[in-house]
Amino acid sequence: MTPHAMDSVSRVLRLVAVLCIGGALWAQDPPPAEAAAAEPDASTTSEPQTAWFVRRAYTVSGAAVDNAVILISGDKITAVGPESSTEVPAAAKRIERRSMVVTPGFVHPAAQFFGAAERMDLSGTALKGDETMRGRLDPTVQELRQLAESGFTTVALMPSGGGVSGMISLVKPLTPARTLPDVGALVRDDQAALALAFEPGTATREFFLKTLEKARKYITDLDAFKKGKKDAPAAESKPAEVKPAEAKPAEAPKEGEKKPEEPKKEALKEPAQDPKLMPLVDALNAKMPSLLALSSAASLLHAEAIFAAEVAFKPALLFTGNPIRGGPDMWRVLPQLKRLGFTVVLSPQLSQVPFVATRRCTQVMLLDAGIPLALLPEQRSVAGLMEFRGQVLELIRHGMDSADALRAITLTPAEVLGLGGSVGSLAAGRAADLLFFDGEPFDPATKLLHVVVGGTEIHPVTVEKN
Amino acid sequence: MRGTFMLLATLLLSLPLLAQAEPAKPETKPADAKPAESKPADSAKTAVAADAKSTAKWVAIKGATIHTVSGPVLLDATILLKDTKIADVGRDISIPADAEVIDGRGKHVCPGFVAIAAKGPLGLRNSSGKEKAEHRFDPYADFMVLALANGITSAHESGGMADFGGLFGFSGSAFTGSHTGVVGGTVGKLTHGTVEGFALREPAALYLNSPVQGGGGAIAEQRDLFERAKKHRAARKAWLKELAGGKKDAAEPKTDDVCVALADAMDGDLPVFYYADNRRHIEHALGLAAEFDVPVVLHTAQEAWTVAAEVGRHARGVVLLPRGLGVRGTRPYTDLNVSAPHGWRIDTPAIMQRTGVPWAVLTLNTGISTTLLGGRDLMGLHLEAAFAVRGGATDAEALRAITLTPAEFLQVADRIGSLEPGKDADLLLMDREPLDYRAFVEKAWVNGRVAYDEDVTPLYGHIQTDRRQAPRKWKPWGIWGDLPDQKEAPPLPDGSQPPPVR
Repeated sequence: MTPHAMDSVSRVLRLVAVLCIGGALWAQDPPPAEAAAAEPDASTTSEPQTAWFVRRAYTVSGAAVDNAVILISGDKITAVGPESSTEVPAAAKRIERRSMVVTPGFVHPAAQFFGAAERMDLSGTALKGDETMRGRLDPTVQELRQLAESGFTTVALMPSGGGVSGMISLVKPLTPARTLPDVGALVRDDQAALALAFEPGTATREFFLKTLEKARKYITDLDAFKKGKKDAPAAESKPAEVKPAEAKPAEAPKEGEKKPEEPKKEALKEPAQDPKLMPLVDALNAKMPSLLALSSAASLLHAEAIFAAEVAFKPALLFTGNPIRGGPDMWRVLPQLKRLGFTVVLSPQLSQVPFVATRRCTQVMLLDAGIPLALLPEQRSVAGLMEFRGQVLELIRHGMDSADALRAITLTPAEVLGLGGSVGSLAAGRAADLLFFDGEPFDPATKLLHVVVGGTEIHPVTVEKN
Repeated sequence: MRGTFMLLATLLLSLPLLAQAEPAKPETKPADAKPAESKPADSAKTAVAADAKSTAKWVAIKGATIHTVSGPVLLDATILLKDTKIADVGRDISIPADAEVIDGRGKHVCPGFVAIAAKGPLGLRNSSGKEKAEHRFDPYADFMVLALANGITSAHESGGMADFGGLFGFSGSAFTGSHTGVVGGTVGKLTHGTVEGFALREPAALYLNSPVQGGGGAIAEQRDLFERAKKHRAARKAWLKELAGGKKDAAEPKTDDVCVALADAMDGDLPVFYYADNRRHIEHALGLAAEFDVPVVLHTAQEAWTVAAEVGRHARGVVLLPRGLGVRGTRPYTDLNVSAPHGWRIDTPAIMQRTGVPWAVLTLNTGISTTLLGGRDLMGLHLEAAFAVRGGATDAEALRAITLTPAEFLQVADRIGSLEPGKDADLLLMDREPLDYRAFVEKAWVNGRVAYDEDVTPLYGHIQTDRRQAPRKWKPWGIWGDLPDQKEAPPLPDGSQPPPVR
């Protein structure tokens, strides 16, 4: 029976299930011994705790912990530490995985699954800052299964297209069921970050200069407006009404305040908000994480000239260079990247310049130069997800430190998305996204045995048996 | 005796004076030339002056043979660069204390070569001709590095294959335009590694092809273009006069781009390249040039020697292939069905020089072809020019034909093409005379910045053409030399200097 045939039936079931258990787990029977974290009463104050005992835990944010215990309450980690010194509550459910090594779930900083885009297209000049992908997403069972099996527990879906491409959606994979899940249940945040893409050219250059000018004008107008507001109450002694407006400058101006003002002060109107532009304004003010897609080192030089004035703008740079053309050729611009301090997002593929016996490990060169690096799987390859760990292993073989490699696929991409405080590492307060390996994660023979997302095991798939 | 004493006394007295005067001399001299730079460091209280001192970057190449092209060849001379410009050239010039000094003894300095009607060195691969080159070029293009290694620091490109019908791949010998004219192309610099300071001129020129082969219809069509351009030029003049006279609502005369471009060319504001390789085509072009007073540059004019005086009278100059147009062009009777003589002579450039016609050098393959070192592509531009010397042209004129003359044809000679104070610092440091077939570029500066360094990019760095010297160290081949791990040359296994080759 195909997933599509089950679709109409599942919709009804899903609705019932979502209503019953709050959308956390609708199609999965709790695995008998282990995944007891997501009880229906998970939201109550006295959350049941689970204690996971492992051989080693790579926390990424700190040192690796041998013979560790990870305490999980609800979908969050409450404590990570050595078994000897960590107090495990008596009521906690104990899960023994003492032969396994645990790492944080992998974070995919710029994926194009679920029909987010056909391919990464950098050409064009669109201003689609407010466009989200929720309505466009078309998840498949196959993709869900691949995600779960490859260890990606946080996935950013990136729109394609040149210019201001749109908002990046944040997805947490669910248990790959026989039937398709609701998009609403998958997408955790459909305005996680802003995606931009730039291809050198006169048209794109003019577009970005014009758009940046508009955004800059809005910011200066808003500053002038805020300053005017601050000055005005001093003269008219209305502090009580003004203070909330100061705290939330983005809200509509209070008409009552302005009318009694002098004519010249009436010019200080709150600037009109263009919804397509606002995410860019936030990104330029470093209030929203952003990802700028570029094709090559040459593109960076052209982009640098355009964004030179935006000092607060710190996007992560996603390089999509074609390895056949010698890209990713970021080693050419190491000094510039070092000066900018932006995180570089790259595929783990090695640079293969044709006809030349030079093979560069750009990724290692970036890390050696102190440039933050996030790795993402090959976008176009079907096997990209499944081979990802192997490709990272190849980088380690070319000199990358395995701790750096783990950070480049967990915490650094999380930081790119502004999620450094919630995913990508194992520490109290972080999401309980765990991967359980039967050995060192970057050992060629190591298998990924279990995937836990938000305290719930999504791999291996147990629902299929029922 | 008394006289001797007096003399000694005078000498003794004057010694301290001399000693005082001696160090004062070099102090005052640079102070005259560069007052801001030679000030002592105690003026640090004026932050602006200190800033100006630290930001200006001086480079001096000392003791080299300097081919200024616009002037004489200077032996044992110095060239001083300040930031992106040439500050001074000469035998007796002062060098600021903070200048980077490069020993040029035994070496040659000349302007960077200008590749006219080229394809490839500007890194415009896979780009549309509608977009400006400076916004899309690839400063890391492999062809750019290869061209720089062969001395080319500026190039004139068509800007996309779509612009010129007759051009295909890298085998096009010239861009030939069309008889109704094409406007486009770009003149840019090979700013390897940076996007700054690229643009020189865009659109570069108007390109016309001879209509003679097309027959009466084509001839009439081209003539009509010239007449419309003449009319447009007159109308535009009248309009500008009206505007100047205070009539603000005067309507601007409108016409198509090619017509405007030709009118611009008649005003001397835009170069015109007229493709005419045989005598009939040349004579037709000269007729139009004379009648409409258009300063055309004849392109691939290999039979120009037959009408040299007329060319000199009516054309701005010619772009030539000193080695001829290749098999069909240079050797008669290769195709027995074609009885037409080829019209090429080895001494065409020399005849042009004697007649006073400016001539620039074109390579047969206008792109970069990596088939052989010194092939007839852009990697052999200076060798092509040297071939004109074999035909009787002078070295100076042949060097001019790949530097200042093409710059003049492209109307960018105010910035590039010769070594003069105030011009852009685009120059080469070569190990021999620029047109020597053994000469290699050691360093190439573009806008005062080292765009190519033989030591960093070991393309030809291992080649030793002087048998009296030890062979150079071999380095891994690749044009990706600007890598941290390649900067250090691998030490020889035994660490000793290799014996000289016999």
